[in-house]
Amino acid sequence: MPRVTALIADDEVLMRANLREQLALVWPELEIVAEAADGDEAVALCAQHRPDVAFLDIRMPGRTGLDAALEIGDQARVVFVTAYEEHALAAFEAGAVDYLLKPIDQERLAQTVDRIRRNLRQPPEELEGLLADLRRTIKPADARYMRWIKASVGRELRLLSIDDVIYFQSDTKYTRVVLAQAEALIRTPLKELLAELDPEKFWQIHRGTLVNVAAIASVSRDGLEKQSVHLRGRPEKLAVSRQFFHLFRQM
Amino acid sequence: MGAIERDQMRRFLRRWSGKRGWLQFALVVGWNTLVAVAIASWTAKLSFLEAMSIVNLFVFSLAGVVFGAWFGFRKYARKFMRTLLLMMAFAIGGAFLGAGSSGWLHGESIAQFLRANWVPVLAAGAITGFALAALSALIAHLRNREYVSLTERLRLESRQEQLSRQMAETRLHLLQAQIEPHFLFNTLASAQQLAAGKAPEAAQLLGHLTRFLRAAMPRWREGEATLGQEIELIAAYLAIMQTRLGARLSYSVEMQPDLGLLPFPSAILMTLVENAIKHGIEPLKEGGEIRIAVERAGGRLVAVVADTGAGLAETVGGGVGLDNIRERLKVRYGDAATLKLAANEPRGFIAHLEMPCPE
Repeated sequence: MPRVTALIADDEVLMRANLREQLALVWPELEIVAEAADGDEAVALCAQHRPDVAFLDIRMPGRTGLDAALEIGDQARVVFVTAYEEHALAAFEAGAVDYLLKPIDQERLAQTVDRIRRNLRQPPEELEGLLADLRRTIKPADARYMRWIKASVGRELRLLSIDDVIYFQSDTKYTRVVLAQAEALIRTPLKELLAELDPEKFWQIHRGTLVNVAAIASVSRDGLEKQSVHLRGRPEKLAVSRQFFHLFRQM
Repeated sequence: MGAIERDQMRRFLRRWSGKRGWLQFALVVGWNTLVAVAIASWTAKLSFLEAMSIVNLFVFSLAGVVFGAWFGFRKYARKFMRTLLLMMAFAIGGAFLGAGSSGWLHGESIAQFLRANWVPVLAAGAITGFALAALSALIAHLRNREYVSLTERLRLESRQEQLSRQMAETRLHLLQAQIEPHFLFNTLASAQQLAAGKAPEAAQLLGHLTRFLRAAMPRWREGEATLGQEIELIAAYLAIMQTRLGARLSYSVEMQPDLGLLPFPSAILMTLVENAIKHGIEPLKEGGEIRIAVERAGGRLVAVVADTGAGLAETVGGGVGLDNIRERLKVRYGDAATLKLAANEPRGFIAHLEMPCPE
């Protein structure tokens, strides 16, 4: 009987031990050749030991289980291990991917092991397309728009809420972030900010200025050619350039 | 004048400034001229010029009084006696001035003319002043009634809005209090593993989990937790994570013991601690330290959650519960609470939370 080898990757020691011990009961001939504590290590150890099967936890430091699978997938059969992935389980089922839920149920583990043993002769399935979908579903629908921004205020590096920013103004190399009581500089250019900010909340009123709509107190017309924005919480006025006059037509 | 009247006046002036205002002005003057011509031809006592100036004076001072009362109604309503006396004084003064100049125009000595006619002039001035004061009092009264009902409506609307925000807050908070399935199942898996070989440790972990669930439970029923409950929840959570992460996590939780019974918006500190684990410690293979300190300082409650983990991302989206915390603090404390988030030295993240502290 040919020797079958496996790798286990999980950042929690107890989880690795758990899987190892349960596998010993269900599949005594399986030889665990390596254990990894993060995704990067899993990829390195796989290259070194060339296991037949890789059990990968999905949430790990460094490369996630999904990222690691992209590199391991063509040499080893991948089994994902996860505590709970609300959106991904359906995708796992649909894509016929092997996966295990923590805490591990022995009957379920036995089924998975059966399937792997039956398919061991065939080359591992193509994972790439499926993994791309999975990564999209597992990545939290977190950041449609930027909500917080990292900036130096005085000597401190702070995380500022976008809602506190009164306006952004480009300033040669940097972008000024102006708050009611403070100012900060960031390196992100205005153009990039514009793409990441909620367009309902921040308006561009000038080539170099993005203003928080909630901080606009009033708009004054100084003749036909000039408009300026008065702010809540800041004394200065901001010039509106002609191409953005339309924003204030209703006000 | 308050903001409302100023705004109304600004709108009024904007409406009537420019061509439209001048047109109206010309119309009124024209009308006055017609009236003056009629008066002058009807009575021989007044020349056209006199009639013209009297009519214009009358119409424009009336307009001035109405304008003043319309926009300055709150002052009128507050200081009615003063306004009345002032108006009568002006009207009487005006009457004497007009009568004097009219006498002078007719070629009489002003003093003599006034001495002969002071009773009717005084009476005319007083009656006019009183009439104008009565008119402005009426306007001020009506306007004031409108103002009171408007402010009452605004107050009700803002109260309504506040209430709906509070309801939204409660809903958010219920969502927040839900126990994360990922955390729960991972913890159960750890307990399963420990139970196989290290029964005493498994029992200990299940003890922590029970404490955690018990501290988390009442949140589903009550709107408000105490600081003590929150700290209990955090301590149980960190004890569980300590078992799971082993040497990768070290932590300390410190709270001045007399603060335990203070009311505290639930899950706010817990969210900060969860973030420290999820975004600070777990992404690092070598892990780090979390330090939590809660104290009363200068009448304020100060809570610090500091970690030595992975640190700040360049920009952060909405998914990490920080927006939720901010929103809830704002609804409850307005500007009296602050949440400051900064980089820790040499690495990691510090959340600094300050809020009013009841004695």
